[in-house]
Amino acid sequence: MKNKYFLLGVSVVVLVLGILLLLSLGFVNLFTGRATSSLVDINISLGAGGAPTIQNVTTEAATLNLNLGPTVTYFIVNFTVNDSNGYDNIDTTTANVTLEKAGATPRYNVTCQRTATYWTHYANYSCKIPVYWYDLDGVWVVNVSISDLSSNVAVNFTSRVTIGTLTGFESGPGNITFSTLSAGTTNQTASNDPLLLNNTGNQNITQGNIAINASSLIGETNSNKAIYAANFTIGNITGSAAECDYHDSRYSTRINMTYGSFTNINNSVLPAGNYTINNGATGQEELYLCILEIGSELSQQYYSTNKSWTIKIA
Amino acid sequence: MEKYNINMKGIALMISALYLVSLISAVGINGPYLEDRTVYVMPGQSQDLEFVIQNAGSSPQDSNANVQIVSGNEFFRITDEKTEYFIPAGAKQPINTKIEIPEGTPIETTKEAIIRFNINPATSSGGTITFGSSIDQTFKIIVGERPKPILAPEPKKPNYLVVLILLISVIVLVLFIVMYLSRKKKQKSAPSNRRKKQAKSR
Repeated sequence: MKNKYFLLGVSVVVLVLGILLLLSLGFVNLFTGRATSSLVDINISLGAGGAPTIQNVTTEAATLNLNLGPTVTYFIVNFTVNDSNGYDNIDTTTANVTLEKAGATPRYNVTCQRTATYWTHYANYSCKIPVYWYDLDGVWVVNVSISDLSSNVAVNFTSRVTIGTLTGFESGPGNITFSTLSAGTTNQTASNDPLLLNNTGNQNITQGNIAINASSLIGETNSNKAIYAANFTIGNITGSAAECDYHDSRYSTRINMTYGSFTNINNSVLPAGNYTINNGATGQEELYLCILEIGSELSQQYYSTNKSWTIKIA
Repeated sequence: MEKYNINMKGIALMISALYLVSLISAVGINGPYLEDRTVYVMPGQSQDLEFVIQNAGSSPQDSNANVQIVSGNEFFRITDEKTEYFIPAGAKQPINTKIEIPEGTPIETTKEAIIRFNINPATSSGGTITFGSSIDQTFKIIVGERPKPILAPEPKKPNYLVVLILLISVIVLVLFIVMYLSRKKKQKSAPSNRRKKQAKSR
């Protein structure tokens, strides 16, 4: 009987010790979801007072309209830092402003300057952040940080800025030439294309959203003669006059004959991006022109139109 | 915006060169950021939207812009007094528009709105083709309030702490029962032990 009580006592003691052990190991926290361990920032302040604080983060505008590429837009963020040890304790060189948005490349300040000091503890700062024409539209977080001379860090990310949409493009080169055109010939390709489209905005121009319309070129001396708009094709590849082969709709598109009616350029896209890389892909689309037929009836004269050809993006 | 000179000259049937001269320039439209490219407006209410035409690029030239509502003009209109604008090289031109939903418009009425900006060089000369740009801005107008994002309810975690406490309670209870039973057994066996002791002493 004594053994029984002894075993019982030992069991209770083991059970209690086990529970205490589990508790000490944070076992309960595994169930409750509370952190069992965490990084703890320890701010050590030398002298009186603590870490600085960032207040009054203001931006020049709640919405930012970007400049067309390649012009960079500079965004100004102003804020106040309060340090109980005095503004001389603030390490101006650590002032940092970052614009952040999920899926976008963060943008960092290029300059941060102290613009004013007052009431012993306060200092005003102004930071300039470059934003590029291809940066995503939408809401960005303005993340501001600064340290004092004791490396106490102050952070503020309460401010937001909305970047608006920018839809734009430019085309080049300076000239496109069709050399040695003979009446009666077919599939004449331009000799110095591509016609390069650069996306100078932040919108992806997707397939089916680049279109062209054209008007016929009429003889200036004899207006009965013309090169018809439908005699032109445009494509996104070249070689073996591929841009002329409009029967293969993957690569070539016959430009319409009806003025004012846009024809989508098959398979052409113009993604947003830094087109200044100039690799023919990032933020760019290359187009190639072809004249299907130089009519044998054409005579030597100037041919022109008073209606513009138009490239449309949407 | 491009400007192309097209000259065709030749001898007899030969056309020596047809060349298109383009002056590199760029146009663009700043528009408001619209979540999902959708604007929600309640019946009887309105919302202003500002667009800005930029005439920039490497060598911008004076341009003319024509702005038109291609779709959605039941609710959407240009509020500027004009729709034709002269935009000097390098300049920006704001275009003011408004969405107005008449009273009584059924909720969830949806219209596609398209505003088109046609931009052409302001000057052209004989024997040239001007190459213009056209930019469409498309968005949806829905009558009503923007639906609030539905947050997925957090999956309920079973409260393991309660389970643990219950388990311990059960164990403690079992221990008490065992102790109680063993004590009872001891009490039952106590009289016979006394009798044995008395017999021994005799």
